[in-house]
Amino acid sequence: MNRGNELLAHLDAGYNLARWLLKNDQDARDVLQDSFIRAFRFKGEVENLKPWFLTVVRNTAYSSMKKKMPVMDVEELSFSENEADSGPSPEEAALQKAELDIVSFALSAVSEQYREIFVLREIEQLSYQELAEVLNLPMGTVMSRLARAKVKILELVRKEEQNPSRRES
Amino acid sequence: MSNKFVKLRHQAPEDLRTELKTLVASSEAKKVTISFHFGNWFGAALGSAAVLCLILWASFNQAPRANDLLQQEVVNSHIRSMMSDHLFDVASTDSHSVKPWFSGKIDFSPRLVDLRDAGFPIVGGRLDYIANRAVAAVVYMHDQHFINVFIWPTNEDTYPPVFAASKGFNIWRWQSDGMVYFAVSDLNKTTLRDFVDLMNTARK
Repeated sequence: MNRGNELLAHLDAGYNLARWLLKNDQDARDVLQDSFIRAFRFKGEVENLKPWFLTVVRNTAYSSMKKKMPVMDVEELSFSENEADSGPSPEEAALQKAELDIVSFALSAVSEQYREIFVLREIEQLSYQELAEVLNLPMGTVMSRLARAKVKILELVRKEEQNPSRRES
Repeated sequence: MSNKFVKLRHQAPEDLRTELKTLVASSEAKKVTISFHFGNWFGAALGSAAVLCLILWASFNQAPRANDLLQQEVVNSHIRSMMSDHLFDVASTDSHSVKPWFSGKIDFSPRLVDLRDAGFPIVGGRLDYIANRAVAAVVYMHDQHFINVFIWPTNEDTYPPVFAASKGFNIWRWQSDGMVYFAVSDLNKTTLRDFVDLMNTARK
């Protein structure tokens, strides 16, 4: 399969990431189109196409966002791989039980860094190694950020469950 | 953790998917070459028969109108410029830099309109070859969309913009002051028409 057709197979993944980051159909569409053309024109070798293409999409999306508002940094904790691989956390279990539309609402409300890592891991099913590649982070930071993302999302889910009117605005 | 959250996945718009598939297919088509094995006379004869059949078939079908062919040529040029990293020979956001660049390269002077304040900055220009002649291709940008404006002289009368769509791209063609213009882009029809109107308004 040629590069173009391989990229087409990852179009939904690229759009999904762009859409969750930008929270806007038209912006996501523009970013995906731009990313696709850039990726298709690229003449070099690519070992693992999906994470590479998602990296292109992510970079393009952040460039687009920078024009509109500054991206806030999030604090990082240091996790070891053993901690992250020790099975589902209480947050993971609680999120699994939450209603999907409430999770969607919470996901829209957290910072871009937490949103993207959750989307890439839980929706796009990327491995930790692939997450590290896309986000350009050490493996330990990937795991700590993912864990914190779930904690933050769960906090918002809890608040939303207690006060459902917030979603109607 | 089971894959419950996959239900939150957004799907790429179908029209964008179709557009990008067209881009890929167009690029691949350029790579296809037809080779004849002249050492194999049977193969050559078969090939000749096929070509003859094609000519006969074409003669029994109405040929596409000249304007349609020209439109296809313009759209293909737009696609090539987007795919081959050859969007411009001169990159500049200043129309006063782009216009002189064409001097001595083509036998006419394209009239460039500075629409930066309207959100359509010029980003560059290049030479292209359409309708058996060298033409000016001026590249504008709006948000993240490129607009190729192909310009060359004509003896035909002035007429207002005419819309067409091909391969997922929108095209406005018009003539003004002895020049023919084709604006091609993946911008939506209305925004591209706004751009064309701005170009024409700024001239007057």
